[in-house]
Amino acid sequence: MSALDDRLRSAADAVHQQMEHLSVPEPGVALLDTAGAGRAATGHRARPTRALVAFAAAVVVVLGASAVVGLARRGSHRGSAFSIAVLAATTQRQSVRMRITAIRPMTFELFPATKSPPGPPQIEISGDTGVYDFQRNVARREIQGGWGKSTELLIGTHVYVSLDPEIAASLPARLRNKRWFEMNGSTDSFTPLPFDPLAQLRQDPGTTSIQDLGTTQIGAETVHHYNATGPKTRGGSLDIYVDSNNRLNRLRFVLNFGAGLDGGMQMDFSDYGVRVNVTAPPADEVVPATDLPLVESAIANHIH
Amino acid sequence: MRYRGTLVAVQPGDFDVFFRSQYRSVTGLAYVLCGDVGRAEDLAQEAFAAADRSWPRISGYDDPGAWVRRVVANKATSLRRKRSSEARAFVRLNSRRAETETEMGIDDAALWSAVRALPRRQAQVVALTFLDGLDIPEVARVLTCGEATVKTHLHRAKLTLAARLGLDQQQEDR
Repeated sequence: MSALDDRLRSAADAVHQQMEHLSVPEPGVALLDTAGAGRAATGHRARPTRALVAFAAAVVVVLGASAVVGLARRGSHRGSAFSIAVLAATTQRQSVRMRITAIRPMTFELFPATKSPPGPPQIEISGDTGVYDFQRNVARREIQGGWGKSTELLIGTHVYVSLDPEIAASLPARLRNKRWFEMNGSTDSFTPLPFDPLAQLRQDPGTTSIQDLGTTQIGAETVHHYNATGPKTRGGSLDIYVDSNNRLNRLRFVLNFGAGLDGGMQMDFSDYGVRVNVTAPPADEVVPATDLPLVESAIANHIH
Repeated sequence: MRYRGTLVAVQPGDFDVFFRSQYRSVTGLAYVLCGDVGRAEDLAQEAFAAADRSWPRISGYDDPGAWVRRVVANKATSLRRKRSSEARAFVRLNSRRAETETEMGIDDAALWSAVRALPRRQAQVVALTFLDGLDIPEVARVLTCGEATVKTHLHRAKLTLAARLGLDQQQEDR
């Protein structure tokens, strides 16, 4: 046995001993404690993070699709906690029904790239309901906002958005029978966003201090309640309710960004395993990609 | 207690068991390769989260532990390279890193620091061999390279380390 090997083995033992003091987060639910408990046990301060901002971006993605490209980009931060990521991943192993309700009205800029006066139109979003099958990558959601209601369909890589008949009526005659347009990234404004509302949570969960508040009832379900408090300057708070199978039952957050970006959101998850049937709209009802700029300006005019 | 026998097959659905049994050792691996406990936890968690996302596939591998170690070893050394080129000053001033090295003792800190200064593959081979207690074929499996390559890296790494630490590696090799 060489002296160097001895040194390396002894140093490795010291590392193992040090790791023994490391809290092993529970996969799934208990991983929510990773940030606080794990770091505390190893004597390191949990770093300030922007989890709630990332979370807001995730929810915003759910709500607005093309409408909120600007905000989603602003909220695109790097985070690190495994906890919520695992929870989100567990949740998505099955299809699920998701209802999203704005706790306070949320206002977003539509077509943030718009340069010409009066600038990007503002829209208010009150919520949406949808069914998602993340394994097959199909989903349908109905978005409810200040402008009315729209339906979005996800089929593989295709995202179709319903076109309000009133808006369609303002289009050139050849497009008036169209009921859908496809977000295909061919223009700046219609950048398709991930249809997956938990994508950001899985990849970008961030860390924050998380409190275990024990069990509570939501409807007939007994769920575990956690509260995450974000950086004080953001005034954010996130409540996470997890069912006995380590799946999300409810997420609720309130955010204080100022500048018209204040808001709150509740996401309710139900019907795990729900069958999601989505078919593409007939091709002759879809606005050709080359005409998307016309749709964009028609929507902007309608809202302004 | 030395971590051995980490490279075990797991049944699909055993992610929790897999995670609990491997988390500390994988974090330890990340730690010696990146030099920062907090960052090591992040790296380990990211790797496990990635494994969890693709668990049906990864659990079918002969060796899911090898997969996670490969991810962590590569990310930890990429981070180190990036840091060394872009943020030397920051790393020196990083108080968390200083805390860590105090905790682990100056001699050990110097040793791991010397390991981190090795070329990337050599550092990975040393960490997997001594920290995870893996043998040559196991290290080769984790790093998806040949056993002869592992032997060469290990030999060169030991020569360099011995020289840096003032030990006689000629004696070592006998």
